[in-house]
Order: sequence, then structure tokens, then C-alpha cells
Amino acid sequence: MDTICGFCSAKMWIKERLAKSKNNNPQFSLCCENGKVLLPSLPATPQELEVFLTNKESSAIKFQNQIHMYNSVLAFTSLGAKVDESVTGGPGPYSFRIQGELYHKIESLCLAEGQRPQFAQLYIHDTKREHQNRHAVMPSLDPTTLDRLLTMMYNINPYVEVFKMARDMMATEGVPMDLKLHLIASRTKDAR
Amino acid sequence: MPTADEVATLMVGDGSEVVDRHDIVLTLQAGPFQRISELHVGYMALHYPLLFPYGEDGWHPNIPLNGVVVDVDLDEKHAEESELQRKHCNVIMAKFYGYQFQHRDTNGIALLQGDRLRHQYIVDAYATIDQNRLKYLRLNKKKLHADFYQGLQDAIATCDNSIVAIGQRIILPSSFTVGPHHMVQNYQDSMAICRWASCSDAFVIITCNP
Repeated sequence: MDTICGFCSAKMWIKERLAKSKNNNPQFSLCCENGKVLLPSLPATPQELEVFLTNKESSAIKFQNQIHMYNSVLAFTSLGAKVDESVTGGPGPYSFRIQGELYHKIESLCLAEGQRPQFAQLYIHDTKREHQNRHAVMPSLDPTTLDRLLTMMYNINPYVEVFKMARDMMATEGVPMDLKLHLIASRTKDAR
Repeated sequence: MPTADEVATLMVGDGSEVVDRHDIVLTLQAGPFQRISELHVGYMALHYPLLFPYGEDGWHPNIPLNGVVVDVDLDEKHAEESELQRKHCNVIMAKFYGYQFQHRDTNGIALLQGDRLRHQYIVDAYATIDQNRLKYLRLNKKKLHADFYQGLQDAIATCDNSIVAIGQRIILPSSFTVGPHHMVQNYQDSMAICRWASCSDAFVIITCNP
């Protein structure tokens, strides 16, 4: 991957260029449709996370192997789909077949009777014991790693901040029954 | 970076204010689950906090293409006629993810180094793209002249009573990759090549495991 797209600076193989473009001035449509699509670049990964992702230490390796579990402990939403069990667990590579649509779902702010907090609720419910609650969901995860990731999330993630605001509001003003948390779908400012 | 107040608001009240139908509104107790629209900017960031630690915005329907000037102060009258125009000026979902998956030195590494989580993200993104294409076909049957197929469908139905359409039938056009029409078209193309260039000696299938 030694060629760089002149428009979006993506690293490309020279053979991926458009057939009509020349070798010495390659143009690409795979990355940015020859300059038509230009989006803000993803911000630099926070230091803590970068260490976990790239380091070769045993704790980091463990994290890399279990990254999907760490992710779901910290996620706000869960996955929903009608899973076809007949193909899971068979020989060959792991396969996952669903029927109908795949979607993400989110639960209401408070817990129902007898329910354990999960996903977004972990950011609101009983946060004095937040670490323990999270650890209880996935006991095989390393508590210190989880701790550091959670601290990072509290420092930088805007969604966490919103949920924290909701929590503080519920703590100080009691629980107003008509409190709503509204995550806005569209952006008013230019997304480029 | 989105500022906090653009991401979400906390409201106390009956919520009668105008709400975009794709917004997520969480109440204290409102049944078991709420489904999130894939058109929501936070769709991916809410589900993959380790890939998008800053809650980076994902795709939404109004990302303009490079070089397109956005007129923010459109009045009602012009809004409708520019609707058509605007459709060709926005970044489509497949292109958004295509752009995002490329390796760039200026980008953060979380999305590339995510390993298994990245695979999951890619599958999820593709499912979302595919679902959206299917939804388009379902909702735009008139525009795609789906009634045109009706006669053909009736003929099939009289020969074979066992699969008479139950519910609504939606025809996948040949432009829908992996749909039956697309497969048949490809098959017939290859047969035409065989006729022109004489029969083939070997049939090679190449698959790739990313």
C-alpha cells in the first residue's frame, strides 16, 4: 500500500486505481469517489486506548482478544435480530445467520422490577457500584483494564456525559416521572 | 467534534415539542426496548464505544458531497424542488463506510486496530447498507414500476400454486447484488461469453477472507 490518494490521503494499492487514470497520476474511486466524498478525519485515538490496542504486554494482549466483550460492557445499545441457531456451532469458520433485520436497541432509563442494569442503564443506575456492576455482567474481564477504560469514557465520551447529567438530575431533584433523555438524530452544522 | 448540547437534551415535560422521528427519546419507564433508527448519527458510536471513544458522528442522510454548497436558509417553497436536487448532492451510506474503512495516517487507529470488534463493525455496517437498499425497494415500488412485473408474476402463480404470494411481493431488481435477478443476469452473461468464445476448460472461483 504505497500509493496515496491525492484527495483523501488514503493508502491504496496502485492497481486499485481507475482504469482511465495514469500510473503516475492515479485516481481512485474506492476511497472517496475521486474527491467527491470528503469527511472529517477520525480524531487521534486516546493514549490509554492506543496502549491497549498496540502493546504486546500480556494485559494488552488479553484486552485485544476480548475487545468485543469490553465493548459490549461499555456500550449503550444492544444488538437485536432473529438469530438462526441451526448454523451456529457447526464445523468451519464461525457463522452467524439472522432472519429479517438487524438493529440496535436501547432500554428505558430506569430498571424494571427485579431487572439487572445493562448497557446504557449501567451509566445511570447505582453508579457508586458501577465497576462492580459492570464486572458482574462479564466476570471474565480484567477489573483494572475495565477501570481504566471506564475512566477514559467518563473523560471524553459525550454520550456518557449526557447520561451522567441525567443521573445527577435524578439524584438531586428526586425522580420526576416525566424526565426524558433526547438524543438528537440530525446535525445542524455542516458535517464536513 | 460535536458539542454536548448538540448530542442530546434532557427534557422535563410532556415532550410535545417537535421531535425528529429518528431521534432517540428515553423515558424512565417505557416498555422493554426501543429500536434505534440506523439514520441516527449516534447509531454506531453508541454501540461501539471502543471504536469511537469520542462519540464520533456516523452517517446521516444530510452529509453533502465535496464542493456542494449547502444553503441553510431554504424556505418552505424552495425546499421541495431542491429535494430532488439534494438527493444527488449527499454522501450515500455505502460511500460513507467505504471512505471510513480506508487506512489514513491522519486518522486515529482505534477503528483499524479493533481486530475482532472491527470485523463485527464491518458486518454490522454492511447489514445496515443492505437493509437500507431493501427498504428503498420496498418503499419505492411505484417509482421502480413494480406493477410492470405483475403479469409475469400471475403467470408464475397459475403454474405453481404452492408459492402463491402470501402478503406483499417485492421484486428485487437485477441491480440488487446477490438478488436472484442479479445472479441470473450474471449467469446468462457468462453463458453468452461461452457461446462467443467457445466452451470454457476450467471454472475458477476466487473467494477472499478479509
